[in-house]
Amino acid sequence: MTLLEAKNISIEYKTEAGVLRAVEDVSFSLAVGESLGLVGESGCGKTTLAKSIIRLLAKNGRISQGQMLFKGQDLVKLSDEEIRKLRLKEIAMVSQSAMNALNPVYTVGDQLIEGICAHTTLSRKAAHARAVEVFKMVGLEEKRLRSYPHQMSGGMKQRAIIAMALTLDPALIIADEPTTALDVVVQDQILQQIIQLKKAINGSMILITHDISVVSETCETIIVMYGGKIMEQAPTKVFFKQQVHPYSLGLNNAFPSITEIGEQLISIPGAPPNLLEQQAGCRFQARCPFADDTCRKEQPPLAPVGEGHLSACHYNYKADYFRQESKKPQTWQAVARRIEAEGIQKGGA
Amino acid sequence: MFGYVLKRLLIMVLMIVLVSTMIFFLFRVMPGDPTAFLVDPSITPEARAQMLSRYGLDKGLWDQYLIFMKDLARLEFGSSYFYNRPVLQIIGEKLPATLILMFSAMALAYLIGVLFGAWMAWRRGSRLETGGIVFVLFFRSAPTFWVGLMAIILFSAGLGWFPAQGMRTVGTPSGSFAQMFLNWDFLHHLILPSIVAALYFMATPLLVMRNSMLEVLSEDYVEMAHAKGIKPRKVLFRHAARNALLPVVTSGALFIGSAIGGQVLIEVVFSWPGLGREIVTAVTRRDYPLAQACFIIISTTVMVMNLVADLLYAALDPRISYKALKG
Amino acid sequence: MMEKVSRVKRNVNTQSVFHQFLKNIRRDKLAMVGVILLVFFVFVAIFANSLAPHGARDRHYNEARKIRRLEPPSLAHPFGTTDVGRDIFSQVILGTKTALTVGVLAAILVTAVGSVVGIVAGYYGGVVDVIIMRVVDFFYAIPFIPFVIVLAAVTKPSMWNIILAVSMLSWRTVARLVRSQVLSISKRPYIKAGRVAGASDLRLMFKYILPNVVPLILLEMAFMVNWAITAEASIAFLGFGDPNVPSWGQILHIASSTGNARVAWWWVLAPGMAIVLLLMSIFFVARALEEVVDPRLRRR
Repeated sequence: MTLLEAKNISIEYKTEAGVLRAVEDVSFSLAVGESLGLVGESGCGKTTLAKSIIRLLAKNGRISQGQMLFKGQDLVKLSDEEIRKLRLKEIAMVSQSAMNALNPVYTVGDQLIEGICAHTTLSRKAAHARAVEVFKMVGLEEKRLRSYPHQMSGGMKQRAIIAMALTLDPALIIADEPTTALDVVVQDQILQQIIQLKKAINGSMILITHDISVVSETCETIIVMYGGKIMEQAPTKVFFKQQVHPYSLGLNNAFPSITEIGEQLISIPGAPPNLLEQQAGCRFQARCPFADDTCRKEQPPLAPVGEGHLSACHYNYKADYFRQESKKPQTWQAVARRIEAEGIQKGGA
Repeated sequence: MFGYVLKRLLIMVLMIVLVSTMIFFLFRVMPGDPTAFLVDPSITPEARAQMLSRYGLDKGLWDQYLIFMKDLARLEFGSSYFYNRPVLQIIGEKLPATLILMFSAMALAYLIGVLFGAWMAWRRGSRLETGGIVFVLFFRSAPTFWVGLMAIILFSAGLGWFPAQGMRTVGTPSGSFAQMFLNWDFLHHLILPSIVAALYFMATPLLVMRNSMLEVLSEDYVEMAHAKGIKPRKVLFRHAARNALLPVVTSGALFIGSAIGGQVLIEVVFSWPGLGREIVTAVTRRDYPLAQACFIIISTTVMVMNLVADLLYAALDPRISYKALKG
Repeated sequence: MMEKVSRVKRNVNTQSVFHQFLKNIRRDKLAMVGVILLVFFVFVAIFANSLAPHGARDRHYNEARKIRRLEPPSLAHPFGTTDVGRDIFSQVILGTKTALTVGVLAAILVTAVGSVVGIVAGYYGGVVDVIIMRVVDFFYAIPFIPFVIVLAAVTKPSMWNIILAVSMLSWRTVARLVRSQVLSISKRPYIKAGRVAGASDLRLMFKYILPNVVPLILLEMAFMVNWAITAEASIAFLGFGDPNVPSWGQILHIASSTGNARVAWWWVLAPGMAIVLLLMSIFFVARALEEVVDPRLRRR
């Protein structure tokens, strides 16, 4: 059963320098109980897309096009008050940097209870009981409810934020980089926590991260975004065995694998595109080793390449060849040289 | 916490001593007849000789200083040339008037300033905000005594809504504290000067609150509160404003010092019988004992208010008191 | 090529700050208004003697040889006349010169002293900082207007004494602000690198730290001009000003002390509005600079 369906969503920001197209024509669907991983570099639009679901965009941002169907209702058409009622109760968010997501002058317990009371008619006592319950679920002691944020460690704070998201049994949890700000050991703990919780509750999850390895452990589907558009979309198992899109192939190289120790890490040269400028053609062409004129002129459609597997490339059929070439450092070095040459051409050191 | 309070109190006492010392030297190092500062030039030669000896003016500067400090500790400020009464008595009469006006104005100023400042940050970028900024800067640019004069022209002489002078209508009884202050006549006289003073005081808490709010509104925990689905107005007050208030309180401590200046001017414009007006008239009349004492009392009042503000800040921010508790 | 980069890096702060400041002015309507008004006032101040149609103390008579007492605004006297027939319009124009002179001189003095104290305290830190800040604390304990009043009791009322009186206390604000800014700058890596490379303290303070503090200092100086002008007007109003110099505060003092302030609204309105407009124009311009100094205030 489909819980969330995004249809041709475009999001733009009005800035002094012009209109910034943060997300362009993105569609996907999420079933009940399914976990979706949104992956991409900073600025690719993944956070914007996720935040737009509960209308958490900055004042100058808005969904300019498309439909966001949640349980059949188009969220884009709802009023601010109606969206507010959905937050936490139906769709909960676990934000990046839990360090700062908690107000320093109130106890953690107060902040959890606040959320509960904002959406239910429960008494304070009942809300407190619920808070104790979710704290147990994430492995925090009851007495921690009376702590102030500055009295807790990073990992504890992150767990508290996760607990907060669970308080009202939401249908969808959006987790925005839940492990980024933590050290590696704690990262793993939190990750395990998330996996456990996923099994315990029957909710859906959208996990946003720039770390592909996190997705491989927790999500059923993965979407790779770049420059505000979807590059590749696939079931996780399929994705990690057979990436198709050149960008995904590039990402794969940037992460060390356990099996091939001692391999050289190859990063994708160049920088993400300026989203203020209109771009004809594929968003990735400037950094793609296989780009040609078609890529520069025409935008590739998101075409199916397998069961539930989509890729936005003109040359999907060449995927096997790309996969081989992308493993070679020379391929990417050529891209680096090409970018440098273009840079000098465009003018000035 | 107790150690902190004690430390601050000791520093305050030290400051009072230093400020008094400064006043002492200021009056005595200046050119002219030094005795005129202490001894009424119009008294008889015998009385004069007695006074000179009393204040150590026939001895060296250090002895004079010791006598001065001893007197200060006993709150012995001498006698006013003009009123011919002990200075302490006069100060006792004038101080409550100043304090009442000051506190009414400050309460009004902080209340309106904080609310308006928070609202302005909320409405960032709109035309209302620009209008608000012009309004605030107008009152920050307009000298407070001028606002007072204009207010009198408009509301007193013009519309006749409020009296222009003093604390009470002439002729009303002035016995007990209740008789003097707890009646409608007094309130009627209090309204215009306290509003004018509030307009002057308002600029600082308003601007600090606005800047503080702008910073707080961009904090992650405010976004989190919205993400939890808390009503926007509740987020504004419970999360944003509550945290934004902290710098307002600290800035309040610093601003109290300059607030006294405005207080003096308003008391003069409205002929309000407080310490501020008294120091001006005392200086103009060359009533030095009174002027000196007014200065010391005013300085002390400012320091006490600063201390209270500091303690208030420590109480409001759990991070500070946590540190203080730890030592 | 590398040399150019390092040279550019050190100066880029003041240059880019200035450019950003100009950009802000062009963008912000209020700042534009402020610039126009400010230029107008400076012009009036410079050419005050030629612009004022009469002297400040000239008495005017009407056709019937009677003194023009307390006349409301008219074509002949746009701001009206005083109780002894003096033209208020001329007085206000001449007062512009006084206001700007006092404001700028006091501001420069205050900013210079305060900045040096702040930089020294912030840079050296430790004992030097503690001692200096205790001294600043002491100056903070002294209430401004009462102090100036008492000072007026023991000195002669002259313009220079007023400038000195205003400056004697006001530097404390600048010192504190500059010090906290310097403290955060001193911690930056390129300062430490400079020390390791053997740069002397003076050199570090004035060639490395100072350029970074300049925007803040300029901003404070603008506020100090306003503060000085207000202070002078207040002192004059209380009757402790220089009676020989035409100043806006002095005009208001005479209006009030002769008991005419309640009726002669023109006498009170004109000099007051002059003060308001001048100070507001400075505030508007300063706001554009404020946004550069404090990026949190920037608009999106």
